[in-house]
Amino acid sequence: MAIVATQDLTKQYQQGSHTVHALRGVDITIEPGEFTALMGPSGSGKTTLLNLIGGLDAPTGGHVVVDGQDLATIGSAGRSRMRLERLGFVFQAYNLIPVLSAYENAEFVLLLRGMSAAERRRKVMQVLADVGLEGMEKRRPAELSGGQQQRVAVARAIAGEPALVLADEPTANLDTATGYALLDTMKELNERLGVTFLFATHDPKVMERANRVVRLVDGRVDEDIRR
Amino acid sequence: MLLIKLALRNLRRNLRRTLITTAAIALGLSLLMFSSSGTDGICNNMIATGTGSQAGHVVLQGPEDPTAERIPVLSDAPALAATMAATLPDATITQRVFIDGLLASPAGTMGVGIGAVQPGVEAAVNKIDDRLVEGTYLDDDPIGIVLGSTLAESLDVELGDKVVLMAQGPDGIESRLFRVKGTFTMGIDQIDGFYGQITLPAAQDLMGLGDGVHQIAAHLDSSRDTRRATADARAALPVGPDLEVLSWQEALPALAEYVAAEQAEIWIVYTVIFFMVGLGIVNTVLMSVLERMRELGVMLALGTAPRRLAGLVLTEAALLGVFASAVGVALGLAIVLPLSSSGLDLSALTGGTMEVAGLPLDFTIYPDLDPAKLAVYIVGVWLLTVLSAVYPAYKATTLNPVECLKHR
Repeated sequence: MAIVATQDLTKQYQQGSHTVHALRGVDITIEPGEFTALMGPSGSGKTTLLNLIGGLDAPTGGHVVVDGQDLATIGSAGRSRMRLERLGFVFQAYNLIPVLSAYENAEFVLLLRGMSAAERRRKVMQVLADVGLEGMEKRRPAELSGGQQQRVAVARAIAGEPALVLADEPTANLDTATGYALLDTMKELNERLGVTFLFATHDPKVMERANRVVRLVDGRVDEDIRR
Repeated sequence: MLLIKLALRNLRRNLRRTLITTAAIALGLSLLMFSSSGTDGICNNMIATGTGSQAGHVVLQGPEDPTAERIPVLSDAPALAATMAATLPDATITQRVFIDGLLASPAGTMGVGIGAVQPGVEAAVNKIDDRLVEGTYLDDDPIGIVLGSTLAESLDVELGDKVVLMAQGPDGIESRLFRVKGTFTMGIDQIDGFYGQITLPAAQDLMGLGDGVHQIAAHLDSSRDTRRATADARAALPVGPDLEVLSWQEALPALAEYVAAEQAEIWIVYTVIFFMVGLGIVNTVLMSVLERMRELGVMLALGTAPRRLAGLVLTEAALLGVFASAVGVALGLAIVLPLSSSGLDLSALTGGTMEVAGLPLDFTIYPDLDPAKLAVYIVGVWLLTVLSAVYPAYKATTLNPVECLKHR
């Protein structure tokens, strides 16, 4: 079963007196294990689509079904729970909680889920090792480089073993080498652990690694290439 | 635990703001403690002066009858006083007779009010012996009299001079000779010009009262114990048509009204303090929410329930309230406790005389911090802090994660 399925998804918003059509009927499905790059120029609707799939925003029309549940039917609390239990997020600006250490940031979602301390410790140590941050558990975000912060964000996103990780321009703030290293790590997580990733990106490095590239133009799927 | 950990770290994160808010709350609480204890000190002073000179905290007397010419007499006074002393072992028990009469000297005659007292006991509760300007206070001398200084001047008498007191005895007007032992100045014209004291046996002899007195009063260490002591006295004494037990509020209703008004007035000050502190807290907590919009948006995106975000904001306020209350109590105690023992000398402000509701007040006020009121203030300030965070907490529940994530 597809993890995500959108049907005729539209999104409009007002910018002054002007109506912006961010999405104009998007039908897309994401299958388990995919490493999908959502490409397209600025304003093509990539981030909007990611926000709608993550239940962070409501569509103007159409449906988003995640793990068999239509997000429109489960209410705000239901979408919140869906994000907590089934989705992971990686943002362009890392967006770690500055007062928490690397360990605590990765642990955050597990704490919200009410997982036991022993189980949390086991998982967090594992994911920090998976993203190459062993020994940096106690460092606060301000004590980490951009690449290390984004690795913590990835660790946080995968710690809860989500069905899908939504990553919005995760390499945009990183230098080339760091971006490559991070993508290699994510690709390795995808191949070794089967973590499903959906990227919104301009970055050709992502495209190189993606096994599927969906190109959006003016809020529509222009191209959907599986490799 | 997650909320508490996050809340503590968020408070530490902008330490300067947390400290400034803490200072505002703590200053508000300490100001509250100071003004409350000062007001209670003034009220204690008034109550002590009123009860010491005119009544007691618990008063035993015959029923007042405005139409009767004479004050009712408690004829079995020694037994009643003994029961009162046994019931309230920590209290000082006074017995008094009140005389309206004429005081004559070679220079003239004045209408006076005379209090007849047991000197040794009375000196412990009354302030006249502290305000002597000449001579000594009453002792066992049965013809000794102390007079207000203005009254002595009016009668043109000095220490050792003779005066004659005339009053209604059992069979008509009786008169006795007294010798001036001392003069006092209370700073109140009504007292200094028209009041004097003699010994209880002298008055009982003059008025033919035998062992009888007009009033037996119990003077407590603290007026806060009045309610309990009055109830105990009522239970122990043969209260009936000829005997009533009154609290000081019932015996001195004008003073009680004044004290109540004083206590009510101070609540206006408290309300202003609370309001100002509350506005400061709302501003601080709201600012801290608005500054963290992006971070709160991330937490929402990760699946944090909005009510949990509200919980975080309220927890921050609750912890801030605990911290600030502790600092405020420490600061308040540091101000109030030394003054409670040394006193606050207001003589420079009052110009030498302080009169409230016809009572002469001490120039030195001893702030009195009531533990029960302190508990109310601490809980009140803490609740105020938490309630001030309700709007910012509500604001946190209405955040749109997408908008928050765009926030810089």
